[in-house]
Amino acid sequence: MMNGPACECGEELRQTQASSENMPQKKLRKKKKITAGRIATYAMLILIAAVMLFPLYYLVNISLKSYDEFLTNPTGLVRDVQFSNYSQVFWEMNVISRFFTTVVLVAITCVLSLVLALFAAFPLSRNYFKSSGKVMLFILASMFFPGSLVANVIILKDFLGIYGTPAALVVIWVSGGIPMNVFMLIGFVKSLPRELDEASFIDGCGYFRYVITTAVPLMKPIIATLIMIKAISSWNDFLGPFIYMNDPMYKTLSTGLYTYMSQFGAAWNKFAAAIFVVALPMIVIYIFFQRYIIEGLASGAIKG
Amino acid sequence: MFGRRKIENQCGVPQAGAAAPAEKKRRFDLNRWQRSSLAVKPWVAIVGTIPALVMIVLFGLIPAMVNVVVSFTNYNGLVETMKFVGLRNYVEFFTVIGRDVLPAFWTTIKYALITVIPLQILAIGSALLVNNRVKGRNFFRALYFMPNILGAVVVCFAWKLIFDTRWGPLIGIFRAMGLETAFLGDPKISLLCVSVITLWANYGFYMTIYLAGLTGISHDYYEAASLDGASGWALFCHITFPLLRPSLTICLWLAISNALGLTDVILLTTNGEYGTETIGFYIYRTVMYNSNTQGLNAAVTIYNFLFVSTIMLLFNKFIRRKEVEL
Repeated sequence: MMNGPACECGEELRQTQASSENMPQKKLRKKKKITAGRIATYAMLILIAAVMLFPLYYLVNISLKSYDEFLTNPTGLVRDVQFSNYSQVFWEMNVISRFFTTVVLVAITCVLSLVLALFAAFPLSRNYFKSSGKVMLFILASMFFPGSLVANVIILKDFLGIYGTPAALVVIWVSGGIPMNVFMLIGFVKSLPRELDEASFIDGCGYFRYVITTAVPLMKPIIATLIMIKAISSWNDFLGPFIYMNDPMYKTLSTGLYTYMSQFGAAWNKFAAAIFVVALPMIVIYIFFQRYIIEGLASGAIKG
Repeated sequence: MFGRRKIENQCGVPQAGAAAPAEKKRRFDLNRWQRSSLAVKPWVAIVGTIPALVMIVLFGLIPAMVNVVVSFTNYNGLVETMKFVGLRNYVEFFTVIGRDVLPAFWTTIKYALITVIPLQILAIGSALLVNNRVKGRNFFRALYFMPNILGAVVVCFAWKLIFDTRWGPLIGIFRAMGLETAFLGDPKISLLCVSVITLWANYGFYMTIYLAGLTGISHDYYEAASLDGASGWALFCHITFPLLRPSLTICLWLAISNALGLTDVILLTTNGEYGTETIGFYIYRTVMYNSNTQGLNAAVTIYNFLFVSTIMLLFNKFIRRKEVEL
């Protein structure tokens, strides 16, 4: 919005002018204010920002040190930058296979939980069959069913026999996501015009084809939000894969990191590299889509 | 094309093969037509709904019921030896494992007490800061929110390094002040350290909710109040805070329920040692590693559910009363 040299006082002045153009009445009040308050505001903002960044800085800093430098100078700034930790960690932790395991599982989860929820939300919000109100109530109430680790393990182990496999994890993730997705989708489907349904049906479009070809493109924003929420929460989930997918063949990035960390002693320079490698994909995605991510996650929390 | 055909239909122009014969009768009845969409046969819609319902029943309803059933048995991983034992597990909760599990409840309450309120203070404070017309508003907002997309493992391990007593940066500062502590390994402050981690990781999320609430507050209120001579703290107390009530309710609800269910952070930082075993972690540990007492574990789960729902119901009642006052 504003460019040029960043000086706090000049910045302040320009800011006042910019805002006064928009709302002329505020000009008087803003100009009266002492700049000390604004300087304090900036100081606080930067202080909190420093606190937020410090752990990341410390991780990167320590991950660039060789083991000798790490032993002699653990806390100071890195003197001799080395990337050997990263290359070591990359192979030792099987980053590539962990990454693909996570991507595939998260993708399956997102698609399944969305498709199932979509075909549940549509008839429920349109009253396509009798007692759909009761079904809707049941699905919404299921958000408050007490989750039970004991029972989940028993069902997966003794009834279904898939405990420990990726299928168990996907099933747990999908079933966890459905009620919220249905809830959010119902709200959105209600805003779609009913005439659209009727017009397509008259044209001979089947129900499933109608939902996929006509409704889904109209629901892009909510679908993107829901997929994003589910993808981020399952990507970052640790307990789920740790409990339900304990097959050593399959590990997500987060459980892979956990086992990697528990294998070795206290080689924190390597650990730091490992942590940063695991964090990196999310950081990169976040840098590009931060606005959508923040809004999506917040809206999910407020409505859900 | 699309619209015209629809209109033609409403006017009653017959259209061969477009609709099922059963609907031909109704085609001319405009009122009924508009009331419901007749083209979807109920069973088609039901078929679409069933997969989602199966998932919810199988992993939402049935676990809840299985848990209740198992809590009345001596299930130990083998279905063959499963026997009905009545309320024994519920009694053993107090007699046999009371020494472990009651402190876990107490730890959970302590954790919630030292986390929930500071979380709201930090979140409201930073929301007010970011809500100022400052340069880089979006940058700060994004930065404060960042830990939420990092995931528990990354956050906890990063902070484990910060709290490390040999390689961490904090221990040097504490030593310089003459304090010797083991942070996460010190039973006196380990819970506080866990709380610091979750504060750092989560307040940005609550800040976003408060920011949404703040942008909803009309500027007119502030103008009116400042004409009356109110400023600073008074503005916050009498305008901002009361109008943030809805956001506060959401945030408190989320924060309390998250705090009462805290498991992964404990597992990743202290592994339940040094007096940080919350009830969530206790249940996790017993289910995973004491699987011969699953009946008892199920009873603990029920007690935990009662515990959490009591607190949440009290919270609901309290907040509702407050909102009536407003």
